[in-house]
Amino acid sequence: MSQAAKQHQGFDEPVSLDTGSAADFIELMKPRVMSLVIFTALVGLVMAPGSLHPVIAVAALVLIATGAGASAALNMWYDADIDAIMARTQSRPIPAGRVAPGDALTFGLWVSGLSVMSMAVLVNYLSAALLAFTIFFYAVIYTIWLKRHTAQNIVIGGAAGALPPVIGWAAAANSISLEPLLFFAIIFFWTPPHFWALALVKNADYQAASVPMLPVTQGEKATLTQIVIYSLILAVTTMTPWALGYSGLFYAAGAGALNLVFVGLALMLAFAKPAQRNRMAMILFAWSIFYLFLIFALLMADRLVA
Amino acid sequence: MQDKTEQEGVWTEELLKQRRRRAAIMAVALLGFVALFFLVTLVKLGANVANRGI
Repeated sequence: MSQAAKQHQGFDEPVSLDTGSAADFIELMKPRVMSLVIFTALVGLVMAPGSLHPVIAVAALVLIATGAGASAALNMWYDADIDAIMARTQSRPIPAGRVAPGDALTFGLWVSGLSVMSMAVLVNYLSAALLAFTIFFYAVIYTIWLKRHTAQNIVIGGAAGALPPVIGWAAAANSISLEPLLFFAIIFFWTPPHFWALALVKNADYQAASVPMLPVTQGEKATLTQIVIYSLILAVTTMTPWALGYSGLFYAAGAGALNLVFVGLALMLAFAKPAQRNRMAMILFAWSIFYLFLIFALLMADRLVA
Repeated sequence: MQDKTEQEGVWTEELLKQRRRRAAIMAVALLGFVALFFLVTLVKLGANVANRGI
């Protein structure tokens, strides 16, 4: 790491006052992303065979959320330089100067260790190992390695965001089977169209920060094609729990309807006039968040109904 | 961004108040964590919690 980079990441920063408020440290943990993590982990936990005591289930969810938050803090620490360039992220605690980079790094490392070790003690070793792997994958593989080096950054990096339901399952069952891997696949194939829709709108930001998102490296047309392809793969993937007999018709009907809207919006975006493109991209982005919540809610509801 | 006073390392009344608030929230979070460990321990021990030599 160059001297300038070290300085930027906070290794050589002068001793300063720890001025960050509690709200700033909570913001470091990306609470909105955390809500999706908690919900998908809850679904994995509920769908797993066997029964977990409610208190241990709550502990597992709290620790998964804490671990996810810690990896987000590590992400914000490393990405502070590009966050300062992009309008969308300029007001985050580190680029805005409210939290020192070194404080964010210390916070992220401590909370990561605390969440993983607590998971091992309170829940089981398998879920703790998966949580540790998720934090490592997000903070090191995605943030440090992939994000600035390949247009496939969010495709491969999406694995980190896809693991929470698997961790939830492992917390309850202390094993992994095909079913939680289908949940993983759903989030994995959902991530590219979700992020690329946003990246299309924020293209100038990513260009300015030299982040090789697909619209930056391959252009809009290729990105639109990829969004449609991944939307179709996602639609097929979400039907596999039903096709393999894990979920019933209730889920299949609901997921089918949601997929029609998702693929429809992706096609409308692909064929939108340039003046309408950003608006359509934001509609797809917003819908994709709602869609994932509903898909997992349907999976859980179908099981509870059955 | 930090103002000149903060950069020079002077604890203003506002900064001290903010630090106290942060410490209080951290204390609540830690107490919550302790309670979580306590409750999970009780659940894991179950009926064995009373099964010990005197």
